[in-house]
Amino acid sequence: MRARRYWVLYVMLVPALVYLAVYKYAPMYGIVVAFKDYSLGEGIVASPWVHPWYGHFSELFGSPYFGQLLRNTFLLSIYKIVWGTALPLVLALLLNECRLTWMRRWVQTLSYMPHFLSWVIIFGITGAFLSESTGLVNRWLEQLTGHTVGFLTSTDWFRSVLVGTEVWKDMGWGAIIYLAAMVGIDPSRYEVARVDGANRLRQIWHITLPGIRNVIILLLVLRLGHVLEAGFEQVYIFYNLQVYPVADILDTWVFRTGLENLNFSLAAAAGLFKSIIGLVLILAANRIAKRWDGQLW
Amino acid sequence: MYRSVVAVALGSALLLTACSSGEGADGAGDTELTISEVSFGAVPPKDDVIGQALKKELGLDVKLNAVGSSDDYYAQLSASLAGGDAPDLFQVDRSRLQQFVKQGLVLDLTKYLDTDLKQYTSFVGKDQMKAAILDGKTYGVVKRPQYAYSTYWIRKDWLDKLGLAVPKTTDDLFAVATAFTGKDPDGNGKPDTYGITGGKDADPWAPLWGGFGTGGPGAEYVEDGKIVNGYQDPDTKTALEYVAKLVNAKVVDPDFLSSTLAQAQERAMQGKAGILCQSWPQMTKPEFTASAKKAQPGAQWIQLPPLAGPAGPGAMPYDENFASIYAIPAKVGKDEAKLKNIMKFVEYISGEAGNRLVSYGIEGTHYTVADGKVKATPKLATDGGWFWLYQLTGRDEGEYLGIKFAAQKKYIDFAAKQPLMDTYQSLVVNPEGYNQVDADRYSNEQLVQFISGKKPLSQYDAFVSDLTNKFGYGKYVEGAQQQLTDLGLAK
Amino acid sequence: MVTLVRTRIKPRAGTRGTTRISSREDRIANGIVYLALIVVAVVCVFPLLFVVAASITPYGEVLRNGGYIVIPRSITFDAYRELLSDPAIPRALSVTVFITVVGTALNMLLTTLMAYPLSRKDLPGRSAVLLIALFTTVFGAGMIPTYLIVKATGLLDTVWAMIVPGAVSVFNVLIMKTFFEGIPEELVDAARIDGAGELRILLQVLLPLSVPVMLTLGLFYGVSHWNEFFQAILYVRDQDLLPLQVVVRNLLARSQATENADAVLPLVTVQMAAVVVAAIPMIAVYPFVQKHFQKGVLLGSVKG
Repeated sequence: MRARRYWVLYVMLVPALVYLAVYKYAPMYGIVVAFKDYSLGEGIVASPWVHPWYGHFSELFGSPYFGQLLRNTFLLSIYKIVWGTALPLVLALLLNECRLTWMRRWVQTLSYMPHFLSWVIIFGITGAFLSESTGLVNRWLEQLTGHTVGFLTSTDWFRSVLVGTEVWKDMGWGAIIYLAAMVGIDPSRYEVARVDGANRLRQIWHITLPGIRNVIILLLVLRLGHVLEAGFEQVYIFYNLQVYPVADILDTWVFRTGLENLNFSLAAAAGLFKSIIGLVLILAANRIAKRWDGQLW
Repeated sequence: MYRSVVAVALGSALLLTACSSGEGADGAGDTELTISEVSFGAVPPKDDVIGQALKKELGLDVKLNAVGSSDDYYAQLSASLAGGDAPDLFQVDRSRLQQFVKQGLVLDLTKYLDTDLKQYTSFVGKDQMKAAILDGKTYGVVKRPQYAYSTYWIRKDWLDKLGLAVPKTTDDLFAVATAFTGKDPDGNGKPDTYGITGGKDADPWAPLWGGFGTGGPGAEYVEDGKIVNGYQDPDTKTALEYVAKLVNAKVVDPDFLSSTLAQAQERAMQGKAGILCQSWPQMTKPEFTASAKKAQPGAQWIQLPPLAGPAGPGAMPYDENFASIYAIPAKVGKDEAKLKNIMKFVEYISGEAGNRLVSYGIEGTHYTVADGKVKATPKLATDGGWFWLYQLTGRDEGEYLGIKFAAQKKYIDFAAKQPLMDTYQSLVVNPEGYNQVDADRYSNEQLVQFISGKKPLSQYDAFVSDLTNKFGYGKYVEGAQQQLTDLGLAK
Repeated sequence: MVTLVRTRIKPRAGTRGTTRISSREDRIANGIVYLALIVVAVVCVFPLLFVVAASITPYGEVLRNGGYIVIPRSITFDAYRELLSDPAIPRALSVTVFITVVGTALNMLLTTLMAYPLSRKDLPGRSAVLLIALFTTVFGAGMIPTYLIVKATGLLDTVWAMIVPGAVSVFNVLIMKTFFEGIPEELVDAARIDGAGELRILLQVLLPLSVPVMLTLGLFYGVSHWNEFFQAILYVRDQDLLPLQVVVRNLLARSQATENADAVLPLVTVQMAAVVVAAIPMIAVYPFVQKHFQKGVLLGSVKG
């Protein structure tokens, strides 16, 4: 009886597994490009191996900027993970606690709109606010304090600008998944707590958050696995030479090297490096998540 | 229960087979010609008139694949080349051409230059074709170079209001920029104007370098018969001191390092700055001028010739080899018929009738001929915005611009006739082992530090030494020296 | 005989109890919530007003006001007229709609089929499959090898190239799996005892209880298809098959054409109109999704 049940389940898995095999695993032979002198003309298989085999990796690690790139990538990513989890979560909680249906719907819809703007547009809008010569914020600052702040050119502020604009863009969007989880919590549990005398804050702490705990942990673990991806498109559009020391991340460097210089092998080596670190981190994060019974497997 | 399982399995299988039923129209006969290039958003309409005319004249079905931005284009091209389905003619810049040639992806066209590509060779001129020559062989078809388009533009009405003369030297420029910033040229009582503005994606100081006797940092040019590199030229240091002076005097828009040139131009159009280095198409497009007048009525922008400086009269550094190159994939060499078609097309658009077609469109609709001279009709301006996508070998700039943009003739001539200084960095191919990305980052970052005053120029020499040794720039300079001398540029 | 009784209750927003006593503390809490939400709404919307306002203001006004206006003084729909007169837009729109509808349907089907078995904790080999799936999220092969596979499976230059290569997002599978795991085991057991097979359990027990996550993931997939442009650029050459976002991107790219005398530059008003037109359908869809978020909360009771 059991075997038959399992058999049905296995069959259900087949289509997705076929997809993964064809479109995710099959292309993975391309990872060898990191160890070859890839020539588009000869193709992946026929391109010669690079001597020594770690040649591209030493090029990557040997770049005078590598340490900085790594640091920038990590820091930017961690800031984004922290704020990008906390703020949408808080927004979801606020929406969940909102007693007025109309306000809840409106704020939800409005907060989700920025997600649809491309980074090019957001860069323009950011300029309208933060530009040193004409930006709204700087005009106010100048009136108040007589000084302007070069938000987009200062190494002190730039990371905050990157994190801030991304949080603004995805706050409403990120809240959706937490809200979906909150809706599934049994309402009677709240009633019991209320009768027990718990105030709103207590209810949130003891019912809402634990109720969506697994989703929070899942998202955190997955994001940790991608900690070396700090948001290439945004950084590429926003950055400029003055802020390279804090904004140049692995992906932007790889882009300039790989696509602009057609050095695909180096790009592949960097990609492999990122993947390995990501894998280690996901495994470690899952081990930790086990403690809260939120493990992925 | 089994039925439902089977249903699911079948359903998914069907979906997957449906996926592989799509087929690329491969080898649609010998009459198809595919071209890929960067379009900056220009899109020809379906069954466009030029395509139809080409089909009638040459019997060829020319398919244009135009990709909006350069980054996206090269991603697509690399994938196509890797997959073996590269277009018949693809646009490429010299450094990537070098990479492709090294990997054996490009066809050598040298032997056809005097035969099947004779018309093209005479149209573009042997002298201009250097951009596609690597190792003495020609690997692509080159677009005839354009005239110089960019100059400084300055608010004449502000000059008049402040009683200033048009600046002619770098010292004049400094004085004018200072006045623009401090003396409230727009008369609104607010200190909200700057002298100079620019963007992070273009060189805001280009018209200045010549006056200091340099082609600009990173340029390769000839001085006293020798090939000189911009960083190593001591005149560059003097020039940078001047620029730093401008920036530190706060007469430059502080956003010039972080915003784009398009945004900088908008700020200028709003009346926030009075001097800007920009191309005449961007500054004088009819779509803008009416609206710009509304924003700043009374604004009068005029062009400035390059400014004279301590080293002599000014000159605008101009690299005419930064041409567009169109290459043909190597494997086409095996397909005689296709190669002949491609060359037929190239020849045709380089000849009189063909060039007229791709420049001006259809006679009677987009232009008329009177006394042997071409005259544009209004339709050329409204419908012809994408014609240039077919101009793979270029056009006679003088004639073309004069006809198509007759209203802007004075701006065109001014920019084209300004004193130019030839620079050759486009011709230099990166030597082995030179990591351009890191060297570029270091050099550009340091330049910004010098210009913005964060680093004193007394450290300039130390910077050049680091760049040359630690970042391998020395290899580049040596390579450039060798290559440009071989091309006969040093006298 | 066990019958699952499904009682649909539409919970009033925020009500989590029947006590109607509104204590002072409660009112303060509400006040804070409302205030915070209003701040969020304003912060999110204010910059967007720039985009919308710029698209309905004449260009001269836009320039005069520093490029950004919040409340337009004069309104014109010229930008939209110009934008929509371009025949490429409706064509691209239909391509995008097709990709979004068909793509999302395919996505949801495959994702559900994968998430359900993986949510059954007793399935042998579950961890292995999970690891296999997870591995693909960290190890990517890169642009060119994927292109070669897409080519080998015959998808190049077809509309399917924008649907199939992204058919399953392991990320979303994991989310759905987590939600499935959150549904009480007793309900599943009860159905099983009742003789229901796996497919029936999925369809009749889990799916009705998973409406919120289904809608959410449907939205995620849908929006991701709607915004897709890179796959189109990489895999498609036929200009008729280009989706909406590519057209919009082309429009925005024209500002880069400094050295091009011929390029007809779209005004920033038209560019903003394009952005609005591209974003509106997805924004319009959301309230419908939201409405259904409130429904389908099961107060399950098992009789028998």
